[in-house]
Amino acid sequence: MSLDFGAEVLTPRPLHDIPVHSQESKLMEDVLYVLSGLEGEYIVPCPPLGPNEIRTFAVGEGVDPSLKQLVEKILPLASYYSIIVKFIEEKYSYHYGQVNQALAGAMDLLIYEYKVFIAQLEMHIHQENVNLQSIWFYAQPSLRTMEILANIAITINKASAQGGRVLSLLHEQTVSAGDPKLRKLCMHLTQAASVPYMEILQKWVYIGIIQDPYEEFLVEDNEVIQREDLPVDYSDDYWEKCYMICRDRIPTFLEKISDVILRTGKYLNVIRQCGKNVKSPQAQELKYTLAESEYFEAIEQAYCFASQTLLDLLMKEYDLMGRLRSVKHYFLHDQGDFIVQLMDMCEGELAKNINDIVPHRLESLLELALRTSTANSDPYKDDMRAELLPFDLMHQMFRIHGIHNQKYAGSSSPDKLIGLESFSFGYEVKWPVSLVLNFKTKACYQMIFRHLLYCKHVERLLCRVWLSNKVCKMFPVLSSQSYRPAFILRQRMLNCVQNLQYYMMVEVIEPNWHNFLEKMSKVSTNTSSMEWD
Amino acid sequence: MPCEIITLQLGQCGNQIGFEFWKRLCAEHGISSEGILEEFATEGTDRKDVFFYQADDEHYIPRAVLLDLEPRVIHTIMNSPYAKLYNSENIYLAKHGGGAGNNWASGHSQGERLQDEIFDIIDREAEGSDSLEGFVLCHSIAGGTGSGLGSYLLERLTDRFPKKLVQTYSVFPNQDEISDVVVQPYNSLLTMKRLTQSADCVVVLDNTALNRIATDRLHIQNPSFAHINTLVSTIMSVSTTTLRYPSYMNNDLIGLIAPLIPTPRLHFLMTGYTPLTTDPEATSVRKTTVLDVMRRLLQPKNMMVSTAIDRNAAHCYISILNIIQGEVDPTQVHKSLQRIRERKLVQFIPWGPASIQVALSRKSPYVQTAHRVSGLMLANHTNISSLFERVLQQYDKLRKREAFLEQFRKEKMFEENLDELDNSREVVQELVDEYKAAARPDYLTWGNRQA
Repeated sequence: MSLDFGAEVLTPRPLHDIPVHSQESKLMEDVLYVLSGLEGEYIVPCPPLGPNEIRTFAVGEGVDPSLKQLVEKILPLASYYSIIVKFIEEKYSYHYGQVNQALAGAMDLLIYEYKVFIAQLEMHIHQENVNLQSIWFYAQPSLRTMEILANIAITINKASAQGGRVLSLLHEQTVSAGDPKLRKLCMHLTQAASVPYMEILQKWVYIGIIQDPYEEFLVEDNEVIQREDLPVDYSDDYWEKCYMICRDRIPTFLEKISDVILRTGKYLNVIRQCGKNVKSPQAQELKYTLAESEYFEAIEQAYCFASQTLLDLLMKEYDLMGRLRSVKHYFLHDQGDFIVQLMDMCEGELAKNINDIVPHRLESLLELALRTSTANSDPYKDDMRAELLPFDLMHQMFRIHGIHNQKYAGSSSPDKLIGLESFSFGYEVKWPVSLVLNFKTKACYQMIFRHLLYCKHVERLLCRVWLSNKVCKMFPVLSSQSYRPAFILRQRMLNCVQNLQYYMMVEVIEPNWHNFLEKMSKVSTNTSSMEWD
Repeated sequence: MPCEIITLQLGQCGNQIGFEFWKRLCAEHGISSEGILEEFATEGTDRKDVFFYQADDEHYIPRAVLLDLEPRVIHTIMNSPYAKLYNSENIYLAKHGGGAGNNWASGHSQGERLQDEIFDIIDREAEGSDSLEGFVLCHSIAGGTGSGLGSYLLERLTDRFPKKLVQTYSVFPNQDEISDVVVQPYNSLLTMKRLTQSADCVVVLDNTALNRIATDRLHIQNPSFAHINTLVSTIMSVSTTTLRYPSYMNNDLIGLIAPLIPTPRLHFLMTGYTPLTTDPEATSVRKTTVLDVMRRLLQPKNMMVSTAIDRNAAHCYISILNIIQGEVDPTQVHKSLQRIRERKLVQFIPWGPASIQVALSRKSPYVQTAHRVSGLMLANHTNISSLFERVLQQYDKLRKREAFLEQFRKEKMFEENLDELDNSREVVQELVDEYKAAARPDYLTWGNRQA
């Protein structure tokens, strides 16, 4: 049963045979009917032209023109009523989401007030102390209210909005409403409609859980896998993809802070996944108001708490800095004696074609190098792995920059690579450090490493040439001078490669590392650590 | 362990500076005089194994071979608190104990006689290291043992270990005072030939300059051997600091030496060190920045080689490596280098790219110094030829008079003729010429016209 008018097409009874003075009471009765969603005798609803169109009414022929005018002034109220109840009835159904439901609920309350008004009107009519003119007068306030409600209903229907969108639309209405009374009404509606949304938001920013059965919330949970069966590169995707912002679900009043919201919950999630229970200490109720600073502040606070907790967790419990230092030792050649050691031992192996290299052997050489150099004192050395990548550094760079160079395409076949070109370190990181040292970051480190390694290799080759040249000291001056151009060329090359190394290591890596350390010591949020390459 | 280095110390001077060197290394690595790691040093991230090896009982033992033909200095060492540090099998004293009588020829021929015993020790030590990178030889070129036996060892080392580096720390005699060794010019010349032909890198420690530094800079009235040897041990320890405290670069000896020496024969390096003050009060009023250190390193008064100023030849640097220790911000280094370049404080060779190379190194955490930053310069400068010219001049003076040659003629090498002396003079002259040529733009083709 609907409170709205029925669907059948009716024609109004003509009023020709009714004297003008009796017409008014007939019409008043019918007005009452249509105002409560029932068709009258002389006034009947016309079927709406479209789903979101305002319903019009037909008044019987032969009505006094002045009365007709009055009636027509009152009739929009009935149209609004029709739209609103239809909206309420529709949105009560679950698949329109909680926000729509809440809004419908709030509207329902207002309709109840409206019905009280109709009942009062009816009483007046029965006591015969009103005429159409006064009905119109009495209806004025309701007319305004109902117009707004109907407008809102139409806008939402037209946009077929749900969740955040609905709130955005309501927020717009509230902000644009000039009349304080109207503004209050809109405010009331928005507040009522935002309650379920804010509850989701609270759960998210204070506990890190999304309870959003109708997909209304601005953060989308894409988590499909259980943590127990994490695939290797899970955390790479995790940070980017597990929780994502759905732009069209953000209520406009949360737009500015949406990133903060996303991160807050994300951090809390990470902490939870580390087996810790977190609860924001100052969990206050979030409520929609026009003064955005109120909930902004609360969210901001929750964010600070979440990021601080996660930062502490990463830094203290999982020793992030120690990890990064260890990565620096190996990938950035900071632990030079280890690199020398490694190259001394692996040179023979790495000179082979990658298909002939026994990865197992390389792995054990790496381990030996780790244990016999000063790297031995590093607690994380066991996470080091040797990797043979099926592409050389240049192709990796080309691929990243999307350069397709025909000239190099031919040589990219992995079968032709020698060990040195494909060798790289791997580094095993566990959750949640893997969030920072994720696949991308590791790839960056690897690229730097491979470049440095190759430079080192060239330096070592040149030094070896130097060693074999030293025998020339014994030659008589006359016969040794013909070698001099070659010596000097070798020296130029050595000079070049050493300066390049010096530049990269001492003037690029080291200062940046220091800046990074400095920043990390000051940092209170997690973001910067994620941003650092 | 890669890059091990075996130290050979010969004769009175060699053993004395070697002794100071080990004393210093022990202090820097937190090793007690008996070779036991101190409590506070157990967590170190330094590399002790370049110069030490661990005995079965955790003792750290220097990879050092102590050789002498007379017992005095070695006995002093064996009576010092450091007696237990060394492997007693590595100490070789000639049985007769008569020394070499400050005679190169005697030292050399004794070397030939004793080579089996000596190389037993060296071979054993070499086999004991996983991947030996080279030898460091400490000696003086003026006396008998360091120069004569040293020369013999140099010749043999290149034969036996052709792929290993041979670096020497060679002390040149003081020219400001009259030596009690009359044949010193002969000894020096004959040693110079071996240093030219058999050593890969010679760090020249000029007693003239060392004494001057001690009196002028350190304000010591009559500098003793101990003072001088402290200076030398500083040079030796700092120049190996990048090997012992690994960082990004220069983690092997070859990587340190090769860029300094463009052509094989030009392998004589000068050193400079700053700040050189023993007075702690003086340091408090001076601030040491990287620029200060680098600038001071370029001043001749800080150089440990005294070179005559030769106005005819425009001498220049072939290469420079500055090892900077302490709290250094790499950007400071960059700025300092730029400043030095702008002010053209350094003249480099015209025939190739050259610049001041910088190696930043950690300091030992166990040795307190008053300076924030200190620096060692290893430089290859064409002006070193003036030092060699002095050797030649003194030799010529003596030779012209045919003075004191009878001692040499007693040895087999000089029995029949003095060709060896003439030949050595030729080699040293060629070295001087090559160094001078290296200051000219046409060094690349030098010798072609000569031919």
